[in-house]
Amino acid sequence: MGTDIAVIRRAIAGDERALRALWSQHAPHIDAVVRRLVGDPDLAADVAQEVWIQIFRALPSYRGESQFGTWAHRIAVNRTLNALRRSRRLAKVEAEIDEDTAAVEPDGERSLLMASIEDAAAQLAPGARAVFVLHDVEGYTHEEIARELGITPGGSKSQLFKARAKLRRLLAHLLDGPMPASDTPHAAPAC
Amino acid sequence: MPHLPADRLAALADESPTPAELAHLEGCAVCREEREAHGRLRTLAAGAWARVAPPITSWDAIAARLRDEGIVAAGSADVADDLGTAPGAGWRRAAWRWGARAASALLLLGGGVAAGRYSAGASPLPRSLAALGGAELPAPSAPPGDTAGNVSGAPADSVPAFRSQAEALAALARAERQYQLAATFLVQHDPEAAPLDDSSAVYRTRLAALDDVTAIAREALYEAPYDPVLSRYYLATMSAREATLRQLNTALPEGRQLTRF
Repeated sequence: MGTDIAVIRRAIAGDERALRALWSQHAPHIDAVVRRLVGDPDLAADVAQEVWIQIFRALPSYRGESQFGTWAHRIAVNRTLNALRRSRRLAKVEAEIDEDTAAVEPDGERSLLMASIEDAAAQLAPGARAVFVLHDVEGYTHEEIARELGITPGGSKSQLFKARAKLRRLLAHLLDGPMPASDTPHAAPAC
Repeated sequence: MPHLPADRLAALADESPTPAELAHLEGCAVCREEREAHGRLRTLAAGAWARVAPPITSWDAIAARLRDEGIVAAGSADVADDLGTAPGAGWRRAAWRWGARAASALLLLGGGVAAGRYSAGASPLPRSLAALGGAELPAPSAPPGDTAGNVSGAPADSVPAFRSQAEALAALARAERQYQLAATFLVQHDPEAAPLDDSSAVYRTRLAALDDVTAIAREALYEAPYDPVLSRYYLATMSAREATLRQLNTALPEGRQLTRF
């Protein structure tokens, strides 16, 4: 921690080596959260670069009240959501997930089984992905998500559960336990 | 009773079921399994936070923007803080930076050569250097007024008396630089070493090794993100990797460009 503060002081003074050290230390986490939120790898790379510029612009305002990684992470989430809003990918957060989730055909999903949860989350609509990543991966509360995305906490919950339901299907091969239950469509009329 | 809706089962990954839902879950293996699958999904998602991957950003691109915006101080360079801003300093800084990158690459190579010699039962030093009678490498020249930089002169197991963290870090930086220069010298002046094959296979092998080292260093950094030694090691490895990638590009047949490794 002490070392990091010394590096941060040098970085605030414009020392390129210190700036690079901060990037080297934190890029794997910061870039990962951007990639998870954005989904599209090419767009994620562009957004992540802007995120880093914002982090370094804001560096003089860092007061050391939280760990640098936590502080930078918060900036990364805010700036990524802003970038998604600007690109209108979050324009219809409330509506999109209903349409998107309803549109998935079970047979189509079977051919789209994803290798990892990140691959699967990239298949979600941007708003649904944002809610899922913020809540289940990043640990945000529904109230925090609602503030970030400009929706209600109830809306956040609703989207989260629909996103999970879709991910559960996309990741069936990873999530199905020993009980042979998942081939049964889960809207069967009765037990 | 019908199965619980998919959305409700997703909610039950972190919400408590109502008494009616509970009663249903007790009697319905399908819904119970679905709920458990959502629990596994929740665990998988939480675990994704700790999973990291190589950065998708490039320092060179970020640094260029930072320079344009004046966030990087004039005269600051990523490795050569001490070259000043005299005429020609820019060129010298660039040359120094490339030299440092090459030294970083050679540091690993030199370490490998020394380790190879040692494991084969030979002296880690080439005969030409051993013939010097095992003389110690010259001590790093400390800057005027430096009273705590005599790291190499201190017994190996003694703790130098640094007066501040800055002094200790400065000594560490000097020692690191001396180590890199020494490793470079050893590799360049080893008459027994086989000449490097300039084919791309050599660089690819080196890249593969550096990737392994980078991955290990990165993992270690996530265990101890503020460890300065790990941080420097990671940086040196990344620099060596960048240099090797550039070397590999120049070693490829004319007209071919490395786009992916």
